[in-house]
Amino acid sequence: MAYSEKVLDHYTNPKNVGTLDKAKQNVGTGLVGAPECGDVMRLQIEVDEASGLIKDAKFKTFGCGSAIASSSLATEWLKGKTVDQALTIDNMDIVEELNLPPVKIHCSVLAEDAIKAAINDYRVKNGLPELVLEQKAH
Amino acid sequence: MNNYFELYQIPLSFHPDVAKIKTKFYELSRLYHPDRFTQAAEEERAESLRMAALNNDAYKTLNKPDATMSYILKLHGLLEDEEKYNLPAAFLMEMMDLNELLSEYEADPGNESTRTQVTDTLKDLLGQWEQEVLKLTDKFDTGEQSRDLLLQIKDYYFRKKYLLRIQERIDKFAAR
Repeated sequence: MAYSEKVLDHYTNPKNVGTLDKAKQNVGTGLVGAPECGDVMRLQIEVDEASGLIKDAKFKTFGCGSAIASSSLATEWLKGKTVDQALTIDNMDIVEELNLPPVKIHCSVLAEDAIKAAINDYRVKNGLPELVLEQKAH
Repeated sequence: MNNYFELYQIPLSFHPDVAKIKTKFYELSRLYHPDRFTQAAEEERAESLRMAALNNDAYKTLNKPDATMSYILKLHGLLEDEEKYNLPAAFLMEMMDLNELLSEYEADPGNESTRTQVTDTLKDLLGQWEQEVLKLTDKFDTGEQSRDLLLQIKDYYFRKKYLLRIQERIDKFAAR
């Protein structure tokens, strides 16, 4: 299977790889796994307390090219959004942007799950109720 | 015939008798061999083909412990294809850390101690996995066939995937 050019670009030159200090109150950390293939993905957001905007996002993914590209793209999209706007990022937007083939859609679902897990971590840390997330099939 | 175990007339178990499986496989392979059905009616021939395929699938499954595990969980309606299963965060974190350590080694392959640390940790985890799973599956095989027990086994079934994935990374890097 050939990867699309955008996947290759994010894969060979991933944006925002790294770690944010998860102990900080304004940092939300999401850690998710894809049980069928053993991929693990960590995605973090740092929220600017004054403006409520996500000022930084980092990820670390151990998985296939599509999983890395999906999380790389997700962190790009997160920056500059409010936490509520970030919640609206849908995995199918990632599929479309990266031209992921049907067998790799689960990678985009993993990225969406990681975003939501990071947001929930941030919410709980800041006294907001945890959101009940709909389960999407991988 | 409702399942592979019944096909081979053996008790449903996570550790089926390997010798018996082999005997049954050869017996059924002869019984449903296409050569014996060249003159048979269309319907009978189709049925023999179906049974031969079933026999092959049964043999392939029951010969491998992980495949047998998945099969038993599916028989009980507790596992689906492509199921999204959430493992505890602590376990995912452990897998993340081990993957990160492996990346450190890959970036600096001269560092033998990092490699040893990764392989030793993985070996320990796989060893613990075997032990824990053996305890649970023995319980099942000796009669405690509860749903709760099967759900515990299911958790281990998914953990193994992460461990094997790391093993695969190590092997791939070693063979580069």
